[in-house]
Amino acid sequence: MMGLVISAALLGGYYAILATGLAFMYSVMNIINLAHGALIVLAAYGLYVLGTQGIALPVGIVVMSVAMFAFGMLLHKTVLSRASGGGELLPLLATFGIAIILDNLMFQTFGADNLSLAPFVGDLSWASFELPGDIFVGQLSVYILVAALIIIALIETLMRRTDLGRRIQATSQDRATASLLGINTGRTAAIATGIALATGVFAATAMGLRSAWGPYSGSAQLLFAFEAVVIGGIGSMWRVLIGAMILAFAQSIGAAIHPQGFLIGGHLTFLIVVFYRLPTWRNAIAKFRQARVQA
Amino acid sequence: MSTLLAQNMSATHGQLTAVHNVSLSLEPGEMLFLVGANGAGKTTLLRTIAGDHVQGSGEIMLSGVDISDRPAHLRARAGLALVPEGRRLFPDMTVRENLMLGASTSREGPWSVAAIFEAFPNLAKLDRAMAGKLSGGEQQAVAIGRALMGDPVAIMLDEVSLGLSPAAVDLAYGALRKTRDMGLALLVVEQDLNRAIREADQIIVMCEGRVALRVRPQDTTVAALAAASFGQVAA
Repeated sequence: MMGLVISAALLGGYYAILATGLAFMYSVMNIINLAHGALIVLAAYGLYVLGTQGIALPVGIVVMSVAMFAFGMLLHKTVLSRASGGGELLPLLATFGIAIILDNLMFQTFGADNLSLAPFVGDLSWASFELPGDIFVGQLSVYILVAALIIIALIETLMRRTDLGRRIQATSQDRATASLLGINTGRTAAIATGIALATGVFAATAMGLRSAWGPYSGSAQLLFAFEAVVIGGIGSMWRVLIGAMILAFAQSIGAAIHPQGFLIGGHLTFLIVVFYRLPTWRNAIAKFRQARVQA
Repeated sequence: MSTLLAQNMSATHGQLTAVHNVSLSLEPGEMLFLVGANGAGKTTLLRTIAGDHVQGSGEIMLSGVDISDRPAHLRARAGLALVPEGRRLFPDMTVRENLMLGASTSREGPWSVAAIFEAFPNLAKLDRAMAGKLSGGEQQAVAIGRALMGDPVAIMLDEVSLGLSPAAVDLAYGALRKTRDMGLALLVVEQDLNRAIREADQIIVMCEGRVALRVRPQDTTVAALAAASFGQVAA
């Protein structure tokens, strides 16, 4: 039982790190980035290539963060800024297209082999901590959870305590007024995209160390990230963590009930939350309650 | 040299010409009132000068520098501020955060959050309050303060007194007079004609996108301004 709780919490940490970039992009730019998973996989390939050149993983993470930040700014300037001017559907289609292009480019470049970053970190991928009560937890999972907490805390601090964060918020809330105050809204939004993609490098590290990935792994990462964001809701990055935890616990409970229950548990929870959020359902529930009170 | 000089400004909403060949000029420390009926093009003119609305034609000089081709944020950085209609504060941010956003122009000048609180003592105790929860008068004070935080040379204010109590209007104009005395040029859109005659250095009446009347306040009356607003040129 204790083991299940701990492993679910650690899995939640992984989902949180996957979902942070997606949630950030949605909350500050109202763009649901369907290329989020593919971009994580792209960053993972970057880390792999750097690793095979003998560059240590921490250095690789820094290099890739800078590279993905730049790529994010470029992506915003060339595609997203135009797409977001054309309504809500266009950014969805544009990022969906980017995902398809990236998936196939990566397939062409790196082939169908499944790769892993585990060889670059020695024994970290199987090392564990021993807790009282004969419980062993993987060190890697603990570090991923800690990394997720740090990244979320950093983004929250950036958004609430710095000039840049306030400008990003102002740009996302009221672009016209922001530019009247002297804020370069195009550049600010590009920087926000860059930050979202840079956080994806940490997601890529977590994915590459935990498991093997291939060129088409992006959609699976996107799915869990998306479910975590929807369950948690927007407003604060900490809600992403809550959403990720709920998803991980639902999956773990599902798996404990039935060997096939892992995914079903997560999807069911996701659907329940979605239906609960729909106004028509909420109204129906409220009416039902009222009717019972009156009866 | 004029602080703000706008010449032959035109702007459209689709096929409708909302502003037609309007020119105006403001010296340092001068307050120009723009009056006229709803739909006369006052707001569109202000937004066009600020760069928030597509400029059809015209030339805008700020302290002798041509800013006609610049986007809105570079006009703000050149020293031109707009306090928009409805204030347009960021409701989920605190008063202090709203004020600090005003400093995004990165201009040198006398204004800081402390200086704003000195000019608007009623804001000091609302430092950490959410801007969306304030009264209309307090919001207007924050909006004016936010514009001042950018250390502008000219401020345009749209519908200063709309939705405010008489006391709040007096407070807002008290602050505006102080900034005028500091040498800022003020372009004010106002519905209250009595107020315009009392405070203005020049008055422009707009009607259907054009300048209907351009006078000094001492040379006119409320009746003449009202008549001009509706297209009747007073004898």
